[in-house]
Amino acid sequence: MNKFKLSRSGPYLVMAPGMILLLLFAIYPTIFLFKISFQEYSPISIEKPFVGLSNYIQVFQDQSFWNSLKITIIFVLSTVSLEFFIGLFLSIVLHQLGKGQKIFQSLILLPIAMAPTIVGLMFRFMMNDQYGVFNYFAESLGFSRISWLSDPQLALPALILTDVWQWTPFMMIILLAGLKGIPSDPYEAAKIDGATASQTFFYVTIPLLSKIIYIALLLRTIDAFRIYDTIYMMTKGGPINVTSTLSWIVYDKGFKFLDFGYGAALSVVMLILVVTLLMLFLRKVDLFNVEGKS
Amino acid sequence: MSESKSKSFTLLLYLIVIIATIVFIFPIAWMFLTSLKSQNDAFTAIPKWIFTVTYDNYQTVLFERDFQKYLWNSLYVSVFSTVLAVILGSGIATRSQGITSREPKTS
Repeated sequence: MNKFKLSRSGPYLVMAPGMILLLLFAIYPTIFLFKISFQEYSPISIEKPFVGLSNYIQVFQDQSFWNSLKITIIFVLSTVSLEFFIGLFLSIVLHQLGKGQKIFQSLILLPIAMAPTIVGLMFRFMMNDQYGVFNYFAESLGFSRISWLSDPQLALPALILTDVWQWTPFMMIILLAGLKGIPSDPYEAAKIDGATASQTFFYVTIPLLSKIIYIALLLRTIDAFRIYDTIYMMTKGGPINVTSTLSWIVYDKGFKFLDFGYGAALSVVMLILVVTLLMLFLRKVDLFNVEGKS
Repeated sequence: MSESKSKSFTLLLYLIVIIATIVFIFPIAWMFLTSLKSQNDAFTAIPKWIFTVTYDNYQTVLFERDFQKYLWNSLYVSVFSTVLAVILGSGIATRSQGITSREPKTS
């Protein structure tokens, strides 16, 4: 084990290249982001005066910020909860399955392997009101043609549907892995005590799965918060801003209107939101303590 | 549980899984089918389930556009970033490992 003994400075030398690159490409840009969020920063003007908190004040006074915050919260809550419940259900069903579990599992997992951009393009094609296959199904079920992506009422649900389609399998596979890791003795004990199926589920399965559930929810929540590529492909924030989430308006304000200072302030606000969420999650559960007692 | 009841239960499980599989596979399958259609067949109000298969789209993608270049770009980015991440990341991990494994001896 101790064959590769390092000299005193050895570990620091080995670590240096990685840390330098991290500083250069992760830490420095973040600091730069904080800096320009206090500036009136436009790439076309030479002067970039410091304006104090005015970008932040502008953010909190901006109607579109509150609107997008609301949309993001709706999006995150509905996608994550749908993905969680469908994923949990499917993982339990798959876990019960004897033969063919592997085949079904790998087929259901296919959506995760696709790039979000391609998923967005695919669903835009299928949800098209003229030649989309979804409308064909809607018509054959007796509904009238629906313009999924241009109807302000339906654009957000359509995006949620797309996200749920792509990420439910992810939820499913994490929970399935958790289910497989539960030993059989608590179940036997529950059986001896005469527990019903629902009692076994709520008092044995769920508590033993709680850590995995936390991790899965955490990963999906943070990911759902950052959704951008699918929106870019499907609705571009429209119709009338009903699908402009936080990350969308960061792009919209920052790059379309070339107001980098304002865009930076927006992303700082978003960063703080996501980090707060992460902290709340991590306080609730100690992820690396495998022995439970969370 | 009686024999017939558990059998129908298993059947129900398979039914659920099969429906789920269809839901998750359909968009991908539909994209694949569309890729084999001609321009006229792809954009119809009532989707065509039976159509003359054409490989023109693949011909276009593989040979008429710069597919090799795109493939190379993707490979380049993924291989380069993976190798770099492993080298640099293991460097950082080695450092902490060196500290922890040495600490009991020096102190």
